[in-house]
Amino acid sequence: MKTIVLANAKGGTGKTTVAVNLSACLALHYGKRVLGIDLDPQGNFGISYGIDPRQLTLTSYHMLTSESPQVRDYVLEIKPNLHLIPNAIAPDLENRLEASHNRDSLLRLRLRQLRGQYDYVVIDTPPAMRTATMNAIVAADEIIVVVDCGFYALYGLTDLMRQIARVSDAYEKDDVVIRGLINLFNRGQNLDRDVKNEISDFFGGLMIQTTIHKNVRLAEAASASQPIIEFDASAPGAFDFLKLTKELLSEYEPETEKRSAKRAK
Amino acid sequence: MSQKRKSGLQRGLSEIVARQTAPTGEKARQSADLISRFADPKDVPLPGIPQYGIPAHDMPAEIRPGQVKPASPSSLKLAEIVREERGYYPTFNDISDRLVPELKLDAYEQVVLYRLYRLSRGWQKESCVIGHTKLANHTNLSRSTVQKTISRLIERGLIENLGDRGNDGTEYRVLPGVPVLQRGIPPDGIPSQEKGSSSHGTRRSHGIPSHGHIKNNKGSLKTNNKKGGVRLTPEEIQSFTSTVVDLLRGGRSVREVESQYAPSMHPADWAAVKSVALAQGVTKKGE
Repeated sequence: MKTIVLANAKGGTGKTTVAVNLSACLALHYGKRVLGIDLDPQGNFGISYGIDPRQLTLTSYHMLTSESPQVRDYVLEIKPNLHLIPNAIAPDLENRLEASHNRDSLLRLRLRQLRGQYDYVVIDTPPAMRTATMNAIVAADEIIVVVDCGFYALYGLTDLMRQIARVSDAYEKDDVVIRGLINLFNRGQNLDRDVKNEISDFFGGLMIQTTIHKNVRLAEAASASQPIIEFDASAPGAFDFLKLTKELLSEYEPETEKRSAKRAK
Repeated sequence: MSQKRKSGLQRGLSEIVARQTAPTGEKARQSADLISRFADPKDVPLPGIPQYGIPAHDMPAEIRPGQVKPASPSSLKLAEIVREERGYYPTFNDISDRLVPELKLDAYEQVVLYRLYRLSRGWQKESCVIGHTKLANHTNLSRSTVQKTISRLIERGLIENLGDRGNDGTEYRVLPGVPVLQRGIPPDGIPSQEKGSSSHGTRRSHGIPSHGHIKNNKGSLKTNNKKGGVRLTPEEIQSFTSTVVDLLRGGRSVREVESQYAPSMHPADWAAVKSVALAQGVTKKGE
């Protein structure tokens, strides 16, 4: 079970869009058993699959703050192979989480119950370096830093990297892999190209080669509560996400990647 | 599919993929390297703040970032960081007033040129020796950006490469042909014939002008601006006109808009903008 965390301290970089579509591509196109976890109290991961956060009684925050929860109780089956632990706004739970004992490693402990049940866990984080994000970093095997091509992109990055450095020092996480992913890229804009070069310099060999381009169909897919590969498989956004998934799988499991694609078909 | 059963083409593709993607262990090592750069915030340098100002000896004292405590927003007190006793140096007004806009220097070129100017002219020298890495650290740019920017500055003739100086870096002559200022005010004063004579309404100063100079020049500057040294292009007139129309439709009076834009514009240009704006059916408020 590989835990992939999508993170950035900056908001609006497209973490949730990447989480939704990456999990969908892994589950629906490649036939992997995927669990999505929404740690962002805005609940957009669930909304993208048609879940109304106001109707939820069990959320990821409930799971983290309960004494000894059965994690299976919090999992919703969204599609075949694709399950989700959604989230919703709950300030009192956030405060309780902040005050919890071992508050940064709660998610890692909970995920032990699901060992062997999923191939991939995809975690969406809030745009703030609070306890929820720290939990995700502690639980992560791989952190994908989703960076947009805006002027402030590198500022949030430094903050996030410092937090990761602190966590990896405190929890002796020597094997966590960090990758950079460019999102919302517009190849016609000089600024985007400059920012992309800066980010590529920053990450060096850890940069994901696939770039997610700005594509209005992605936003339309979210409004239709569908991942892009279901909403419009011929859209450039669908192509980008399939390419991203393929690139990641070629590293995680180079031998089985092609076989899985065939099985899913 | 086992390795034996793969066709030649598939084997070739697999090898290419394997070469392009380092194994996960290697990625983890690279990640650890990246993380270690952020491990101790105390080591994060506060760039661009000189620590020694003008030294007693001739060689420029290179800034040592580790000696400055990182500034958090709460602890940032500008008056404590920027101190007069650490020194200052004269710069030509024409660098920011003419070189930057006329040569259309981008932000990277400006920051690198500014840094090189500081290291050379800041020490009353025509040239300085610095490596790309140090320059990148002090300008908050990447090394590759610094290299590209240096090449562009050399192409534009703003700096000259005087050769490699081994471990110290490369020697650059900054603004070749431009005299090195020893002090803010030149010994022979400011040439009177150049007061307000620039075609772009900027004063050609050789340093910090005296108060009298500023006072005497105020009138001529104002006149110069009113005359409008630079005429607008037809596209700019069109753009201004649409802005003025928007403002008038938004409830501003013609007089208010005129007081805002007319002083910085050539009278003929303003007349054109005003007449077209009014001709577009705008109510003449304030007239």
